[in-house]
Amino acid sequence: MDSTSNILISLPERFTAKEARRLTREFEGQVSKEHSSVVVDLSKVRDMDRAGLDSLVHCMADVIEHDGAIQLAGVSPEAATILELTQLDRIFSMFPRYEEERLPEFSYELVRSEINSQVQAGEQQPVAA
Amino acid sequence: MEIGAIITVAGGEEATLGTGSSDWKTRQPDNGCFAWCDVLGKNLTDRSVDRLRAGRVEAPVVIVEGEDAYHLFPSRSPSADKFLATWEAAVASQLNLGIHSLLLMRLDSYVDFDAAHLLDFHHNSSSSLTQAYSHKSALEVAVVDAAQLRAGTGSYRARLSRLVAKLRRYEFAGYVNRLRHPQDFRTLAQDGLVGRAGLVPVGKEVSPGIWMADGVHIDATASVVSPAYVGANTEIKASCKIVGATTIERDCKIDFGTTVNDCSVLPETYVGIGLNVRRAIVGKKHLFNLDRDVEIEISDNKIIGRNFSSLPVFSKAKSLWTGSANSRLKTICQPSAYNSHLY
Repeated sequence: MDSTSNILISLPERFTAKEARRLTREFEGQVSKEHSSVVVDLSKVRDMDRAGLDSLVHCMADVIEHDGAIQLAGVSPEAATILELTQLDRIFSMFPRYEEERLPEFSYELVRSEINSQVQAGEQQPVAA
Repeated sequence: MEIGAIITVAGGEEATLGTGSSDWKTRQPDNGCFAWCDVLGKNLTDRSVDRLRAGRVEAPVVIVEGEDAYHLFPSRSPSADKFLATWEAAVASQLNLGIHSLLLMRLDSYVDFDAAHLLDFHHNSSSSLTQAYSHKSALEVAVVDAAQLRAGTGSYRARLSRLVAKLRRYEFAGYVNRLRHPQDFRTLAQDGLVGRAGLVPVGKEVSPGIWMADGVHIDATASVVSPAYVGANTEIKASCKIVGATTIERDCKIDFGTTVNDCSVLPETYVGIGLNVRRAIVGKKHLFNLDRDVEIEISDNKIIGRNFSSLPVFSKAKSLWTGSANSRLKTICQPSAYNSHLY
């Protein structure tokens, strides 16, 4: 059995308490393996509140616990402004970055618009620039 | 010699925030159009009124355009509507005061003009209509002979229109800020702070380059680096850093450990704990990031929101509590135990 998992999280335009709760709930089940690689796609995000930010930190803590890595990708100007404002940009920048063209193959994709986790084994998912 | 004046505020008074910078002129974060925004303790409309009063204009009239855009000379504006009726009534009321000249000003940009000098130029040149120009570009400031307006027929805007052909230019070499972009608004605040523009900060210069208005409360562990402006009744909590020619207007609260760098913080704004706010214009619900040219609405008022403690009812309750608490503390603490200054 593969001991790693690659997860893509695509966040919706508005990432607040409701979406954050669902992300946290679904993410817990996916990151149980060691050395998980998580890419969070923030290209659509226009609004995030503290609950959304908390859930990102929660995801990061889970990843660290399993000796994995997490990276933010396609950060929109709005999301970048909020992350800088709350100084979370410094925390996420501690992780090594993937080259855009060398992103891992994603085992799971959490599509936030539908809040579904779908097994996408063996299929590379694009991450918005 | 009697001088009348009509100040037209471009854009709506009750405008709400739009997105992006294209409608920045008429829609400012939380404060309607820019003319109502405080810059260094006073809004640009009040500053214009003060400027005109200093230039021998007794009672300037201020009218608001509304949502549509007009021109300094309304004859060039679209079809008649409520604003134009208001403008006609304002001209009539000024002429009925027996004025000799009427100064027309449209607050579409910031101009550091000397009203007395412009009026002297107009009178000495014996022209019917004089308009200010800066670097061959027209400014929204003009003076018109009241007698010419009284003598004509038809609406006042039609009479004014007939005078435009005889317009004389007054070349202005002073400070002009066209306020076309949020960055211009920020630049205006900085220029006022360092003396490039004639916007004198409201308050006292407590140390070189640091201006503070009445009732400012800054924790002893906070640092304010020159140049900076802190408006009336603003509170800066412990371990905050105010740097980069930041201006913080009245009734704001910057909470614990937050750094505000190169920002304009608009009145009654709460800035939350442990934030890093840089290169931005910050309002009660919105933040415009100048580097990214993006405006975000902040729905979480624990991050950025309205400073509710600035509301009169809260202020009164706070002063009552502070008064009674201080009187009790003074009985048990040495004065050195207080770690905050009240300027």
